[in-house]
Amino acid sequence: MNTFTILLTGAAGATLTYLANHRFRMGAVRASALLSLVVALIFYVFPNLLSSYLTTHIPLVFMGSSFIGMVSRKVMENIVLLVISGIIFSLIYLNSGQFFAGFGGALGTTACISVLVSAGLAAIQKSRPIKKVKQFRKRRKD
Amino acid sequence: MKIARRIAFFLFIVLHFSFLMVNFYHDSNLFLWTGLLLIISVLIGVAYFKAPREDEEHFFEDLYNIVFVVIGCIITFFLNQKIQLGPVLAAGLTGTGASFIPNFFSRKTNFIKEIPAAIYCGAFLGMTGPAVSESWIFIIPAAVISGVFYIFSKNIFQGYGGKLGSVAFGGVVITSSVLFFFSA
Repeated sequence: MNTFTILLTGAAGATLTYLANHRFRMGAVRASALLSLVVALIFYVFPNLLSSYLTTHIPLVFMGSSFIGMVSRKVMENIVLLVISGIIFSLIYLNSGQFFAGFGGALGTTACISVLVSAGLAAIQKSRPIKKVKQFRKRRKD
Repeated sequence: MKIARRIAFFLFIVLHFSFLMVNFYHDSNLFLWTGLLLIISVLIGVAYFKAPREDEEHFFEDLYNIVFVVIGCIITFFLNQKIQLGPVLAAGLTGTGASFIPNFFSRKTNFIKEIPAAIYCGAFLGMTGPAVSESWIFIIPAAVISGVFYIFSKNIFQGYGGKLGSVAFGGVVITSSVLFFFSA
């Protein structure tokens, strides 16, 4: 259940920040910082709202994934890709070792890697060989 | 300044891959992690080379960004470690405050618009935990290095989420490595 909540938080952090950034025109910095501040404040004021594990990790995962939502429209427009990035972020976060624990910028680096992985997936999906395979499948169906 | 862009690009690659390798190889399941690392590396590699590169000039004004990164770092580090608000609350407060700075200026030049991003980049540095360092002697050089890296990376990964965090991480890693090297 904890893992599922962390995955959901990752997807929500990325998507909500993106919407605040682009749909509500808050700008990337305000969207990420303000939403993270609200989430952190909720857990700061109500520390017993959820288990101690989730109280510690949800604000960190939300803030980390909110960096994904700072992405510009030129780089990522698809909400599905944002959700995938958020989930990738959470998966890396959950499987991280202790070596870089406490390093400033580690969450941002994880977010950057997640965005790059999704952007790579999108680029491969749009590439010519994949398009050819899709066209071939479509012709065979027809 | 092609050389600055190349240095920044190289640093990004080194940071991302060392981060992944160190994080993944703490586990005994080497086969699974090696496979995952290979897939991630291919996807990141594709994204690196498809990433748009823009050639904006570097100006003398860019040097002010170092100051803003240091300011963001000092405020967040103080709130995080000295007032003990915790990293997320500290960075959230600093970033939210910084995002309102352009509202105080009637003329919104590119330089003014960039201030919140530079301060937020510094805020990520300030999230550094006491396990890494509690000292200003560590965090301020790290912020200056990140500020330089921030300027160098001006023309790459524009609009990529997490870029500012990677820049901050670069500063912390370089400073930790230098300190480790000299203390050994």
